[in-house]
Amino acid sequence: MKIKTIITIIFICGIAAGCSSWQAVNGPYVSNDDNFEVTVPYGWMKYNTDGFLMLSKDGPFLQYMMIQRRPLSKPFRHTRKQITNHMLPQEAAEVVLDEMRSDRTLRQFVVLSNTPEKIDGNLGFQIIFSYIDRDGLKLKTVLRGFVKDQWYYNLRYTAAERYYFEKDKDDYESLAGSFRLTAN
Amino acid sequence: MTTIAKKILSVLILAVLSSASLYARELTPPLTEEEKYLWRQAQAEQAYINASGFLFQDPELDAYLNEVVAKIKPPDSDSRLSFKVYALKNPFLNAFAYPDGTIYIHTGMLARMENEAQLSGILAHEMAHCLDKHALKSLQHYRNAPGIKRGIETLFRGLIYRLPFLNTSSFPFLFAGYTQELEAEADIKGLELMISAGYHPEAALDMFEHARQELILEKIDESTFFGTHPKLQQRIDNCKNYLQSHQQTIAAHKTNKKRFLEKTLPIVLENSWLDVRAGRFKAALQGAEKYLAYRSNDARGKYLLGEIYRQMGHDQHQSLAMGYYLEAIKADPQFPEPHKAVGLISFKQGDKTTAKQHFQAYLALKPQAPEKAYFQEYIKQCRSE
Repeated sequence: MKIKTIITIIFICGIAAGCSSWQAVNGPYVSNDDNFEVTVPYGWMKYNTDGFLMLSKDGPFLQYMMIQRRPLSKPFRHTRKQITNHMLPQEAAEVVLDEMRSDRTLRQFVVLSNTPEKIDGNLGFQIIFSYIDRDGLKLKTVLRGFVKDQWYYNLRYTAAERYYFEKDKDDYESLAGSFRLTAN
Repeated sequence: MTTIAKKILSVLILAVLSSASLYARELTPPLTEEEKYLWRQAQAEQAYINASGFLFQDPELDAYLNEVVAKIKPPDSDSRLSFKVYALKNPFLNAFAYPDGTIYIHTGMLARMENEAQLSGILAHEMAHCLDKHALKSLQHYRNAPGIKRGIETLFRGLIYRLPFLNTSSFPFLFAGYTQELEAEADIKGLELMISAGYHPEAALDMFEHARQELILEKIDESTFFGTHPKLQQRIDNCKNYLQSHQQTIAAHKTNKKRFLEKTLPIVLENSWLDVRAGRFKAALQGAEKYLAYRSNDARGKYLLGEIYRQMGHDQHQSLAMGYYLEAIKADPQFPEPHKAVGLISFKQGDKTTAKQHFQAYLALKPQAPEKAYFQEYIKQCRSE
């Protein structure tokens, strides 16, 4: 499911449920389903769901952090390419970028940087990119990813480029820095 | 003739011409309120598309496409329709026209064409939709429908016609197709326009074949794809019947293949890259082979072919890819990308000496490569082993 669609569903469900889908979270957070743990910085709200960790301060349309893992066998939406566990980090990053470049809803998609990155000791990548969404809002994203066994893990921070991105970027760095895989 | 006489004659000619022009303008009825609404919507959507970053910007190609449109446009057509064509970076087979005469054609469609007559066939079909006001007719049909039907259609539009660039469009039929009747009408009018402009009309049938190939390639069921469109075979039969019944009067034979390929070959290369990104390797391969058929020793074409095979990811394709990369390097030693690719394959195969050599060559030729940090890292790893 597309991130924008997920956000919209979350938003509608949140309103319908009197926003009870969101709860304040602070400090250590363990995902037993996805086998990771992180330390959530102060001031973030977590969306109550299984399957991924989504956090926001001012609402997901303005900024959110998301950690999820997906099986390598699960196809992407816009590219038929797949990430494999034989790929070098740069090759995996290229597949992720091709997924976004093939997405016609991301207007003026620009890759600002693409560099190798270690995430909890795993060789991976970090891509920073910007784009304009369907509603005309310019967004900026930092996406870190790596492959472990049959899973592609990604840690994403997306925020309105104006004001919000810089405001909360350090919190993303803190969250990503605290990321640890846990035993199955 | 004296100078004064010449001046008087010039003034008279100008007066005659301007009154003729005024007369012609009077013949064109003003836009109705509905049309004004449609045109405003069309222009807003075009502004959105044009700022999307998906326009294929090549002034030479734009000039060529608009030159072909000018050849097809009937001299007696609505003077307010100012036809203009844009190429959109999209590997899928499609073209669409807004009611004000603005036409968008996907690079995927241009890349599959072989000659100008085929291009004229697509443009003429789209122009026919504008000339015969199919957008307006569709809107009126929708507005005049009974309330319940309209309600269902509105809901259906909202759910189905969420378009790539736009949240929703006022012109769902541009993307999802007009009714069978209107499409059939545009097919025949398109043929008439082609013939009037001197283009070989059977070229229009080639494009149906391309559409059929696309459906096979995409494994799409024809009935799903065409929806309310007349089915492909039915459209082909309609066009063939028309051409047979007018055989005696058709003298048109122009295809302009050479000029078409000169102008559009860069699109074939660009579009193949779009196919590679979308993971449509078969389509990408067709594009790369077409490009290389005309530019057999082109380094970029060979590199593309190498990339397609490498990214397919099968072990047996890696040596094939390597062969194309080496040919690309031979064809243009200053072209950086094949060095990167040879380095990657060698690195993964454990040949660190070759990998290091090519990564270094890549970075020397492209010191500002956006992903250079990876290759600096790989070079370090090659050194340490």
